Amino acid sequence: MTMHETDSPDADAPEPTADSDRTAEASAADSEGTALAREMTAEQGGETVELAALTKRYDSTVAVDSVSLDVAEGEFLVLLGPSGCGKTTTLRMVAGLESVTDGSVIIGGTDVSRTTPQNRDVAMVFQNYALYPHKTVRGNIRFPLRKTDLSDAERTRRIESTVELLDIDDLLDKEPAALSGGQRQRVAIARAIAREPSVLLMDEPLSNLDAKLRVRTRSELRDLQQRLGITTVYVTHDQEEAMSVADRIAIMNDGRIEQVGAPEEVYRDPNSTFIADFLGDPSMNIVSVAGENTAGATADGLVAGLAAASPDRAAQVGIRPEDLYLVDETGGFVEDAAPEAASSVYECPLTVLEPIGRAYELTLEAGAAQMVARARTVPDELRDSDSVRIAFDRDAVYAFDRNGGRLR
Amino acid sequence: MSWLTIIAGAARESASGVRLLRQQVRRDGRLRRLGFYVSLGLTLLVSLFPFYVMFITSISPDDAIYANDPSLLPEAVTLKQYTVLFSSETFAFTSYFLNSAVVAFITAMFSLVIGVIGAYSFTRLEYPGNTIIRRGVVVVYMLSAITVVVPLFKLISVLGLVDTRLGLLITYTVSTLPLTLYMLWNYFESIPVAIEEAAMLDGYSRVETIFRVIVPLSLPVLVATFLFAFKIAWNEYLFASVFLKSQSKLTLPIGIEQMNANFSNVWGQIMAASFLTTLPIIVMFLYLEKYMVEGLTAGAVEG
Amino acid sequence: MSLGERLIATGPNSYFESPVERREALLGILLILPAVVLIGAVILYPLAYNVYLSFTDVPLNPNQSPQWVGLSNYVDLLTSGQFWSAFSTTVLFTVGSTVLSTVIGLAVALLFDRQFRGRRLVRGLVLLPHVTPIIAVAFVWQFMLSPLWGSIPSLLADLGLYSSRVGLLQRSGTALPMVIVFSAWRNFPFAFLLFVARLQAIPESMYEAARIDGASAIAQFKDITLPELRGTIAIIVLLRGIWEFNAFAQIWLLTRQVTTLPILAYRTAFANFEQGLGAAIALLLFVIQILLVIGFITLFGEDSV
Repeated sequence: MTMHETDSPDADAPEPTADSDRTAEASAADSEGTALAREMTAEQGGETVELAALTKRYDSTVAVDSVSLDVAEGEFLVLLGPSGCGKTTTLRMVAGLESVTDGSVIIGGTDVSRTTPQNRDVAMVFQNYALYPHKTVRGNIRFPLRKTDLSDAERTRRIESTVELLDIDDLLDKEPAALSGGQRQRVAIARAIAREPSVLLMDEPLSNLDAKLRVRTRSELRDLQQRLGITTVYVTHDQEEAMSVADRIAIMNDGRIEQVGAPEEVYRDPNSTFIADFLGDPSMNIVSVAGENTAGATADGLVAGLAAASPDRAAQVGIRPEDLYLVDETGGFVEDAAPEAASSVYECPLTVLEPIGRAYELTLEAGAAQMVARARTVPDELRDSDSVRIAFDRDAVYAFDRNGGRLR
Repeated sequence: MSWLTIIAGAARESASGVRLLRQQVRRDGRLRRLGFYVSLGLTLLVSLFPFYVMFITSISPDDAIYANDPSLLPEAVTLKQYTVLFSSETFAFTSYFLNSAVVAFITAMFSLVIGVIGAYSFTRLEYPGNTIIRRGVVVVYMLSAITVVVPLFKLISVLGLVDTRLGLLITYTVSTLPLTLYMLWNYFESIPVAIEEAAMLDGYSRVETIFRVIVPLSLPVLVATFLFAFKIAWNEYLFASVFLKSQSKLTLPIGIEQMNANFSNVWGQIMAASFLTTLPIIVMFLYLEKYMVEGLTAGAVEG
Repeated sequence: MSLGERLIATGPNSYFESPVERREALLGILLILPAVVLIGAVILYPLAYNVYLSFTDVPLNPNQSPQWVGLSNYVDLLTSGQFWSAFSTTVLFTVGSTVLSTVIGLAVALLFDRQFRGRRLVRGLVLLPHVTPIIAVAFVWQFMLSPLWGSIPSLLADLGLYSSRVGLLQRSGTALPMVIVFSAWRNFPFAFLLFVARLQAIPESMYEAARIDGASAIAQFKDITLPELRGTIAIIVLLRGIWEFNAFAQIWLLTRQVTTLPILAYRTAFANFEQGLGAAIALLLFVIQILLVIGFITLFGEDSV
């Protein structure tokens, strides 16, 4: 039985669901974003990145297991997964910082698997920024430019346009130690993009920022990447961050890619219980229903109802918290939005009612399982009640087989 | 006598400890403060008294030094001991001083260059045997000169390097290497690897990264390491006493020892020479105290 | 698993995953090579050569090769009273100066374990005995202790504690204690420095907790400070022990009346020109030292070192 996990990896993130915050950010990005747009001179473009059966073995453990992936020119691809899933190792193999055990890394059609980092024309933004502490901001940004065949005047111009783009022109003569976390992060990005690499790699670039700044910066990052059109591979463990910046997300688990797709797609159409559970906060309720169908309506109630709404082969069924609806005494829905294919109404014991900002999380008992529902509003009488009437959207029920694979 | 006093004083002090100071009644506290300053004063007296004697003797005229009733305060001040040291034909002090300076400087340079690339190699690069080398550095560091001086002298004679600066330079470079490697290793380990990775992604090769990122980043430690190697070579006695023969090549420690052995009652000049030998180290040390303390604690140097 | 184990497991051909890795490894070897060659030639080779020399009689003429004499150097040594007296002197000197410099170092470190004005300067001054050239301080001590002109004998005489006209460094009975005192004076700053660093790392909250529990100052020292300093004490005693055991210049330059093993080796090899015998003493010194280190580590545990 899959229990609902109460602590998600990014419990501190202020925006509760992935899709609601996309729109919120779009508006937040506008003010900053248009300013950036005006500074832009030329599109940088980028190269394709192709990973072919890429494998990394350390002695007996396999860190990255035959990962194949195509990243298009100018695409923003996010490698998402829990810590230890091999996403950073994959990124480091693309950068050339980690040797390739098997398979290959192909950038712009050239196999670079056996070349050194300096020959790959990729740039990277590190988690801790890795600025040169003994150089000023200007020196940091100039350092990679010295390896290009630009003239001195061009280098200076490139530095100027980059710092304007990132709005750090007033920091040029400071040393990294004198900068705030957010400023360091910008300098790290400036250093990475100034020489216009064909691929930009980012390894958890926002994880050292505080929650608010993180949300603001990620929309700026997305905006910047769009304008530069630079092929970007971005590693994070934060699903919300991934959802908000990515063109496509590749979700990794245990060294393998579980699913690749647009944010909406992987959220709406997960391939497995792992992805269903990993994406969304609170994550999908997944309960085991093995036996429920055949034994008839022994365990009536919500779980049986979910089982009935899915194919007979299903061993596990899932439903997202937002697809569970509160029903009032009269049988009407508490909220205006009602599902098209509403199920019948079930009465479930209510164990926890927790306000989370603009919404509520309700923890219910459904047979032996626990489920979480999300509601925008909660009727007053429910606050003292120890049970709740609930219906679900029959179209939003996910079915999985015994191994966690999705049944369609 | 004073030793006992200081040990007793310090022990009494430490037994009570500063941390209790605050909660004591004021009068008790004042007494404690007095005890503390007395202990501190005694510590300084014992530590510095010999230096005081050295300096005072070096500026006293001979008749004051060899008076029947030695006095701790100078009755007359003179620079005669120093002028004799520099002008006299019998003491080749200037040449000793220069020899020491040259040998110590070149030793420190060698040691630093070999140390930087060596320490970088076994902290950052992977190859078979790098862990063995890392451990070896610590083991070799514990060896003492006396264990190898006999065979090394044989070796130096076979190579025809007896009484040459080269023989001394090689020996000194190697005797400073374990400490140099150890200090640099400690520091390199503290530099985040990501900074080097950033440089390599910025288009720099490994070797360029060492000299354009790691070296500038390590500058304070490089200075400290250099000074330590310099100090070891400047102070060294045993190898120099065995390897060097001719007056013109002697370093300060051997030179001063010969002054003492060949002449009697030249204490004034010997103290002047000792003071001049000590001075560069004291200046260096007080000026760069922070780095030197780091070096001492990191490497725990045998002086 | 280290690279070396991978090499054994997979053989040299598939040893490196990429040409980049191989180049890095070659670069690593290239960069360490000067250090390894120098250390090998000037330390490790002589160490091995010393073993050979200790079984030979080395002629004065450097062009003649040493004569193999088997164990006779060792037999001579182990049956001579000179060796055993030097051995016991070495042990006395080592224990005396190690204990004295560690205890004084600890006392002074405790004295410094507080804030006061000029602390850094005073700390720098206290370190001077340790960092200045041995030759300079050894001669000042000789001068200070000299029976005719020295300030210390005259002070002692004034106090009625000392009347002999024979110098403290010239009489074998007083020379050893003097050398120990000199050695402690020179080396207590080393212990002091390590103790100060360690004391600063003890969290103040531990003492606060003890005070709340009403622990006396002595109890705090015994139950908090001392256990926290255990590892530091072990490392100081080990390092100082090794160095004092091998000490040469700090004894030799002060007095010729104290003959420890290093001085016996030096005299035998370079004053009596019996280099084979000198090599044998040096080797015994080395072996004893290794045994002491092993004994120490088994006694105190490897983690403390």
